[in-house]
Amino acid sequence: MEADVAVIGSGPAGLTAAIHARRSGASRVVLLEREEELGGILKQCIHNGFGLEQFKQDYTGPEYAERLINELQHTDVQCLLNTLVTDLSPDRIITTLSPQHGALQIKARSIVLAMGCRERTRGSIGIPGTRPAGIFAAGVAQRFVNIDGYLPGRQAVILGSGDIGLIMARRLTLEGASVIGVYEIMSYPGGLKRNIVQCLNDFGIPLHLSHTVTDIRGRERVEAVVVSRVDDALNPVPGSQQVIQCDTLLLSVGLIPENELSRKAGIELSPDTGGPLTRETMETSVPGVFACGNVSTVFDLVDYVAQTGEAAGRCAARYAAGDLHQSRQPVDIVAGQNVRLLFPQRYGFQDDLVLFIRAAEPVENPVTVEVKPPGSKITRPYARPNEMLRVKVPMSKLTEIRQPIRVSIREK
Amino acid sequence: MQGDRTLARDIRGEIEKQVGEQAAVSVGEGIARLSGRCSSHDTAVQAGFLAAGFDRIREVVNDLVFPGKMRFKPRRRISEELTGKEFDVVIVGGGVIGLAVARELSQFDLSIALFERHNDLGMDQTSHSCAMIHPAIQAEYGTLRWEMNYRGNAMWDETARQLDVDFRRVGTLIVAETQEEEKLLPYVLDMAAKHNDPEPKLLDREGLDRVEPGLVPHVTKGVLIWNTGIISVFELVIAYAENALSNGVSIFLDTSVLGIHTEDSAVRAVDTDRGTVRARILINAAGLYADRIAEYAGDRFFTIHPRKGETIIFDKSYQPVRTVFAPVSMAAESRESKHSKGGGIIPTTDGNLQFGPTAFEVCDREDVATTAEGCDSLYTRFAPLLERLKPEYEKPDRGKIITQFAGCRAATYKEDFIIEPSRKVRGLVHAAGIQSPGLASAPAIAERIREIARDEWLPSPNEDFDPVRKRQVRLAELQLDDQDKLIRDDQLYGHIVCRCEDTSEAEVVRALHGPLAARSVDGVKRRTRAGQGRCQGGFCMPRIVEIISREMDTARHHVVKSDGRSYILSKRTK
Repeated sequence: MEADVAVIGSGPAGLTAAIHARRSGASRVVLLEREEELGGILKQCIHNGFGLEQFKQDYTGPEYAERLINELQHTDVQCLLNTLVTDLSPDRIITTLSPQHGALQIKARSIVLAMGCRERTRGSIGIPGTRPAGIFAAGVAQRFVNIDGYLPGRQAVILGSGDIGLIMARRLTLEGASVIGVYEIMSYPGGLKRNIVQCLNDFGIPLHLSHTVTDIRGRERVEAVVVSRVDDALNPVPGSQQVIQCDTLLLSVGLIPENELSRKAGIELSPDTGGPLTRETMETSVPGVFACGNVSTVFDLVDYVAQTGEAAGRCAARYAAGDLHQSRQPVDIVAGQNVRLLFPQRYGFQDDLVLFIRAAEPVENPVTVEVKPPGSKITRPYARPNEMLRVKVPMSKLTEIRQPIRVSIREK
Repeated sequence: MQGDRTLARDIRGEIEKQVGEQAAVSVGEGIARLSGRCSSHDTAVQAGFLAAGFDRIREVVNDLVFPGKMRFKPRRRISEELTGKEFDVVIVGGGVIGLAVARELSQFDLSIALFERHNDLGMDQTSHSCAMIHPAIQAEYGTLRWEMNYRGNAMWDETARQLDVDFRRVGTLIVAETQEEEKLLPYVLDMAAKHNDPEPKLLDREGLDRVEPGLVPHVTKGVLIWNTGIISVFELVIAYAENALSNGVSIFLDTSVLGIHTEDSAVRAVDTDRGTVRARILINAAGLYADRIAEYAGDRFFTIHPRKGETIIFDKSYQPVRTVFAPVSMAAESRESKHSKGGGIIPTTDGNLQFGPTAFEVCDREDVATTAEGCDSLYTRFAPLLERLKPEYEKPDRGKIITQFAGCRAATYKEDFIIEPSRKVRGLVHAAGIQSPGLASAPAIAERIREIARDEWLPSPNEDFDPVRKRQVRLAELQLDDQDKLIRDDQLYGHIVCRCEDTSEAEVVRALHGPLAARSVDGVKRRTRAGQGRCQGGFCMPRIVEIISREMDTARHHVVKSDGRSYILSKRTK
């Protein structure tokens, strides 16, 4: 099979990319989805807050997905469902497995990676203790509740204050479970402010900053967890242990961009974001392969994801048409003062630059975000690691640049 | 006997001198029995070792009581479904030893039953092992452990071929970092040869590059003990069991032995929580509870003291070594310890690197909890070493650890295997005290038990015995064309349930049927690899729960993770 643009993954990034690839003139667009329905993780996000910026609407996840799916269905984009991509080669041959097509290879002129991210597990953060039932990544619990219709437990402790954990604190409470508390190892929360207010404060669920789980007890099912305070170096403080009886531990301890396929294609990855090193066109280090959404870096808002999806779809169509010329060597975009990570990481002189920036440390006073060269500055009332900053620099200001672009956040 | 009394007094004195505890000691028939109170688990264990240190002591029964000592709670009888059944042989324990023995004895015309207390096979030491076929150099020369190790090691090529299980001889590579250390290599070579490891090799840099490419330039010499192997241990358990079944063995899961009936000092019947079966031969392969089984039969002459080992496993994207790898400084250090311990850098057949296992005496045989100290000690011991000796590879990273696990070794105080007919009870044969390197030794232990059975009971051969077992097809192992054919024959192979390990729904469904059907999410995981990958079930667990519920015709909230009441879900939502 051949395609102009093949999009891998049909979450918000992939759906948007497919729609915009088609809209930008690519005639044979294929969308590959491993599940039996389109929509990716949106299907299980039944809470609201999706599309506020993009559509000026307060959608739930499924509503937001439906809107994109409806748009897609008015096009001739071909959707292959139940189709898992098992391999990706640098010359853009995609290998898939599916019940309907068996082992199928697709040769694409350009490819958009939109595989999203996965949740960090207990193993990777090394919580010691027994290994009973009742320990879930928050997103897995979310699927059990919202898709399958089962409650994972009755008394839950949540480790990590990522957005999914916060959302699940409220969800479990609404389903009649008791959420004893949310414990966060950092001294600031991981999720959005609005989720802390709406999911914890409104339900009287305590958030304990600078705390972590240091032991899990129970043979068959979780019977208790031990939480400890941590010091500035994030090490548990001896003597601060507290045993909390519970039957469930949810982990909301971070997301990892899912780049196993990118590795197979030999795409260069950023050690900071865990995603491909990307240009403003969303093109990766492998020509004709683009990346967008959480496969690139974990975004806070679906609107941001969609924005990168749009750029990726548009530029992938241009590439397929032979219309994305690389006339100049791209320049690096590097993290300066108080910047933990940024996206994209390279500028290739093809498009306006939309930068997504995550602060390293919280600053609760007004800040200046500087992009230099060309020396663009914006001010923001604060900078917090849990809320990405976004800066747009038009292409017209960037054409003369020769040296790396440095991004920094300074207190005003 | 006067000599026994003197020996008992000497042991008592030694315990008082070394650990300051007042133990009551008696000695008879070479067995030291310790009782009384002592202050801690630690000193109780040390007392056991001190008694075992006397040459004339064959084994130690340690009844010392200490604060926090676990009380053994036998299961209650729940049914009589097995009552009235009769077998020639009952094997207690469905770990790799019990299963290897079951398969081996099925060469005879005997009716054989195997009882396993868990709802799956190989759940204790076997699945908690590091899946390594040890070279004999690590076992103490002259012990039964050493003998079984070197004999067993040599049998694995054929055994793995017959059973169609992944097995690779990756070798143990011991390298020298300095000229001083290079002087130790001939000694390692001698030791390996003395322990019957065949043809250990002294490698120069060229040789090193062939077996372990990318070593730091200053490493120029090493010893390769090539017969070290790695094996797919979950597959092995199923393979042994399937082959035993097809040769007529009956396997009963979730069946716990509660007692043994003897008559005129001969085995007559076995009580289980599912009824009483008649049997004349009893093989004690009960691992962590082998001393309990011996006691039930009236032949209590050793005590199992559990020694916990923790292991950490890395993601497949981090594969810095091909061999079981150690610098000579570390190899020398672990040789100084007499007991199984230490741990190492060990690759697996599935491509996940392991660090481990550690070794800590614990008082609870069911203690499988991991600890921060255990993980830290492994990581800080081995990660800097890899960083230093294999600098070209990606740096080790704790974020690449996908899981940690722990299990207990079933050690006796003599720290040797006990493989012999009971000296007291006819029909009882012990395969006890089997700890590391039990996996490597398994075929040799099974063979030894077969010889005992042959000599004691003169059974006639099973004319239909077939040692060959074929494994089921695995989608992930096939080439593209074969995958395509398979899916066209059965669409369920095209539905991938576990994206990390590429396990298809067809494989999961298959694992849930047949005489060795998985009964839990972990059971499916061991049979199909679904959930063993980097996301640790994040993607597949809800799907596996759904498939188990469908195939076993049970509600999703009745699906268990592993044993007992390990329910994954609590109820339907409102």
